Amino acid sequence: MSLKTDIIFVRALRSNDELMEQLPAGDVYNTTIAMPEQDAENAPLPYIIVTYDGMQNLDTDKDSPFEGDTDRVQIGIEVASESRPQLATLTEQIRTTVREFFENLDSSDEDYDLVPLDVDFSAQAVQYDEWKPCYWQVLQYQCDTNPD
Amino acid sequence: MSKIKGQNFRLLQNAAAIPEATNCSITLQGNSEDTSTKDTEGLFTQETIVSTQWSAQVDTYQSETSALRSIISTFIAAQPVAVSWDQTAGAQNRVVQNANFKRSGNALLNDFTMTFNDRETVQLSLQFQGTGALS
Repeated sequence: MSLKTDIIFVRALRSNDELMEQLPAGDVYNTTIAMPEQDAENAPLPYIIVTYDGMQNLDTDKDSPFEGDTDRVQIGIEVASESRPQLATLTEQIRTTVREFFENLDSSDEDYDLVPLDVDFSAQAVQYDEWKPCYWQVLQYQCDTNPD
Repeated sequence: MSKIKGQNFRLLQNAAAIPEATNCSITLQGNSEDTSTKDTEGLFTQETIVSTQWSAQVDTYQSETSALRSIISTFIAAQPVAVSWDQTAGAQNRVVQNANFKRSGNALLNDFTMTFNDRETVQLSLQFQGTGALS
């Protein structure tokens, strides 16, 4: 399921109505709802983009000559906003929403297998894009998941 | 000539490959004693092997609770188990090939270490001490 890990992040963010109402687009951008390249400059602020930033396979053992039984997936959540206070509020909301969604998802849920076994969280520095203009930050999730 | 890969060497307990192994090794040791004979005019000693011993070690990940329970039971029972060392292939790389260098014998599970880290997979290190000959 490691190639679908971004889907569970999108679902986690959509579960927070308060967060969604702050987005003029009404939804988060991701690999299935892409923000068109030509619209990047015109996309209304604030916006959130969930990206799948690659993976690597870990834990090889003698049972598996080719692939190990853990995938480490990198998921990025890019947040852009007009003001720093709003950006800070959004990033905190995103962090809390994702954590609580993973902790509380029922094991009978059809997407339960997509929830990472383990997550490491980090965030880049806040940056300023003078051309849009906007403040933006990327939240990075390193997720250990089952390959199947 | 085909090259043999370390991936395909496994330690087997009771003819079943120890699952999720990452590393295995086997150690053969000869115990020698110094002897001095008239051949050397008493100037030098000669070493003679008077006994041999062997041991085997395997490191594994463990994700099955039944396997953990089995290992603890084996240790508490303190009875020798059949251990062999062979080349493997096939499904999950666990089908033994009965290679001509296969070696087997009885060994005691002499020591084991279970490591439960914060975030890592459970890791096990088993050390078998041979009892009797390695054939």
